[in-house]
Amino acid sequence: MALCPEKLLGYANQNPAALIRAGLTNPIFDKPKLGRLSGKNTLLSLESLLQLQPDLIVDCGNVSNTHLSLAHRLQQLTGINTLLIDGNLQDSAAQLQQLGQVLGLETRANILAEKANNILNNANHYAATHSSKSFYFARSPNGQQTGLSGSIHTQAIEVLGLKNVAQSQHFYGLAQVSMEQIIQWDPDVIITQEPLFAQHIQHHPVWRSLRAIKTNQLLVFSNQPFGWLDTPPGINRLLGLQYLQNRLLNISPQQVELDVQQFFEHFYQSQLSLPQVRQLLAI
Amino acid sequence: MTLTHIKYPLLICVCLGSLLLAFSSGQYPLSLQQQGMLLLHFFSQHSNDINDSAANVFWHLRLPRILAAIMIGAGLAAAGAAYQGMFRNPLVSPDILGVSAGAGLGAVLGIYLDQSMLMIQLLAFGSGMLMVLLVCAIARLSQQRDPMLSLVLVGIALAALCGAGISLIKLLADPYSQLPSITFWLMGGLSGISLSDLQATMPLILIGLLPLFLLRWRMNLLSLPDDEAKTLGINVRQTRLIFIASATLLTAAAVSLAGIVGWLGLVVPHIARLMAGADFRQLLPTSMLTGAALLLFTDTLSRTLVDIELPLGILTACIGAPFFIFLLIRGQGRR
Amino acid sequence: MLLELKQVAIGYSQQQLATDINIQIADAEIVCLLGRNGSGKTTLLKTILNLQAPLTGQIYIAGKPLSQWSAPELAQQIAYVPQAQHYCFSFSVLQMVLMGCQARLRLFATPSTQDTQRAYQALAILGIEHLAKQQIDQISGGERQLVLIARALTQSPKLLIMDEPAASLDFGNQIKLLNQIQQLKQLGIAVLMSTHHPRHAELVADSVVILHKHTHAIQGLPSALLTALELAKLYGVSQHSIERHLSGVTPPLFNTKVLP
Repeated sequence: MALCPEKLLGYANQNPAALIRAGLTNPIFDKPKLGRLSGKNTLLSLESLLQLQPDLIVDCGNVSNTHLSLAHRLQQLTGINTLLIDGNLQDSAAQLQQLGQVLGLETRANILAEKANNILNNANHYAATHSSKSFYFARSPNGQQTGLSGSIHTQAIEVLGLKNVAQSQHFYGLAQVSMEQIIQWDPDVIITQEPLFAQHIQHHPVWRSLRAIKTNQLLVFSNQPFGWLDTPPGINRLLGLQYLQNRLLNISPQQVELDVQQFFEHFYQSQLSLPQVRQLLAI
Repeated sequence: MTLTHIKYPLLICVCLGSLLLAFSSGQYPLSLQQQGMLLLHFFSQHSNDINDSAANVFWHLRLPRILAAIMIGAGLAAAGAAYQGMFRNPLVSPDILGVSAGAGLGAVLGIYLDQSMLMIQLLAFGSGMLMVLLVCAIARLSQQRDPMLSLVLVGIALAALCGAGISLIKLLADPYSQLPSITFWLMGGLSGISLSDLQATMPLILIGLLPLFLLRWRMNLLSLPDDEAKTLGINVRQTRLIFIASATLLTAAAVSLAGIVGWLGLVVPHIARLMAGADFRQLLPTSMLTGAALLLFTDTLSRTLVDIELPLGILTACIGAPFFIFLLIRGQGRR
Repeated sequence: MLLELKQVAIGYSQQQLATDINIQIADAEIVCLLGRNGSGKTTLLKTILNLQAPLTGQIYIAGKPLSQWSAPELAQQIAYVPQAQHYCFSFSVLQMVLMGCQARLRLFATPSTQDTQRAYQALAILGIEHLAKQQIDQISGGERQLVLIARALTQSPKLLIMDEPAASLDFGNQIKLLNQIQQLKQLGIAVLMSTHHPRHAELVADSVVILHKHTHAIQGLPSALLTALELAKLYGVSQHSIERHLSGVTPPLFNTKVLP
């Protein structure tokens, strides 16, 4: 999508119509929501897929035996080439380049890969040179759902060397945690991209008593056009990653806004005005 | 007779035990002594010399959660005992008329539409009640001679429809943000309970319990065959409607607050019946105490067993199902 | 008259079971109801208990139309003794008998100590006081039937309606039951019971009702109705075999081939 929206046939989960109306997204992204294809809950029937006549199916995410066999089967059934790309955040540049080669768009792919690499290198550099703060990533309206350390949900934050307080030896991925546990963890920073949560804690005495909230260390991220840090786990996370680093370094607002503007321009081919950027950041 | 005499003190000890265990465990270190002090300070209006966050944990987290566990445990158990009596079937659970399925659909829809927690709870409660109303209305239309049988059958059918609705929403939901929330809700849990939740739900549970308590003797007659009950001089239809309404109110209130906590309403009345016998006058309070103690204990496990929250539904099923099988095997001779 | 049926027809909307039923029962009268399987005996009893409506005709209890009685009032006039059956929950015998108090209880009340005494009295009348603390599913079928009669007595009714009370009892228990029923008469309670044994009717009944399927019912004295001729008509068997069975000296089985 970032690489060549004109070649995209449709989306699995998103419907960008509202974003386009709001002027946040370039109209070239106006494609139908087709539904998920991979995995068990397939919404898009194979027949309608064939009717769309795609040349290539790209699936970016976990490369496990299950996904691999599903991709094989898809290719066998439809006769359409299927590309399964490992969605690891650190490999974003390689993913872009690989896809660029397949699609014959090496030039643009290389530009984006370089941008991605820049962001990631900066982040790695930051991680190596700054003392790590601890963070809690609040999901769901009451904020008690979180991504455990090492999960794809918090990967973008952890790249910056921040330490996820939610560490569990026996569990991976998402989990529900108790408030007492959060108090006990006492994170330096609380990060969220759930607007309802940001509202919720305004009136919640326990959340407000947390050190991170008292010291104004609640960082709220936008979830438009995609979640900046998570949901989905794609290159959209580079934006959140960059913004988070800027916030942590207390970069001047002008620079922050410029970075966001540029990211939208490069990756989403969308020109945002300053008020629009501020609107996204104000959330 | 002596056995029955020991049973009640034993039950009360178990209740107190699980209460103390619940108060004394949790990730945040808070001694019982400190908590006693906090309570004392509250009643004597003294200034607070215990640190803020301890007070916060006690007043806003541990206490509401414990109260909620007691309330929901007692409510679900009472509803289960009432439903089992009414349907003259010890294998019936409070979900029989589709309350849980309806509430589940409401909550899932709320999550899908990105509603706030309060709205999700309201939706769950409303659609749970609505579902039972619908089941009763449709069952009245049916040609079945036995009204209870048609209620059960319509309940099963509508619960299946709700299940389909839930599956559909799960399919449409955003797999990265909404789907996990839906999954967590459907597994039940008391992690997000606040005092204001309690204030809203407590009255509903009390309103549901009141008729059950006042009409506790009549419940016995309702568990006889309809003809017998009628000739003994009670209005079976009316009484049953009151019981269904109360038990449904209890279940819907509990489910809207805690998500789907299975097995409790099915297993607890059995345990209580072993202790107190079939007479609803004793069965109701025994069920409520047992249910409260069991859910309190289970919830304590769910928040302390590992560093994250284990969903309640998983734990109650792990405790409930084996126990139920045990009862089935053992109960063959008794029934 | 305690109970009076005038030109009553019974059955369900799709199916009429019997018509032209005229029955009168006086205080302390024992009436036996006989009829073939499926002739509508149970339906008739249920109709009298106001569990289902008659298709046509009027039923009066103590001179007042049945439909005007409220459920608790009616329960103090007529009590029902169903066939002893399996109960889903094991109440104790005492709890079961206490349920007979329901009709006199106010809305939110539970049985008082007086009610408990009354229940014990009922158990004493039937001689099963010792069973009070037992579970209903742990006593024998005959005892269970007596418990149900005790429960009916606790309602202090004027009329007991029993649906084949002897059906599942052994020979000894049948005799005991019939004795108990005669004892009820001494207490001034009328009994309407259905039975498959003309013998039982002969032993206890003051009057007999014979229900002919689809046609009519007749009430009369046992001596008039329990004749071989009437019974042969009722059950559709030969008069001779009825005489043989009712004579009390049934020939040994190996002699049966001699008979027609």
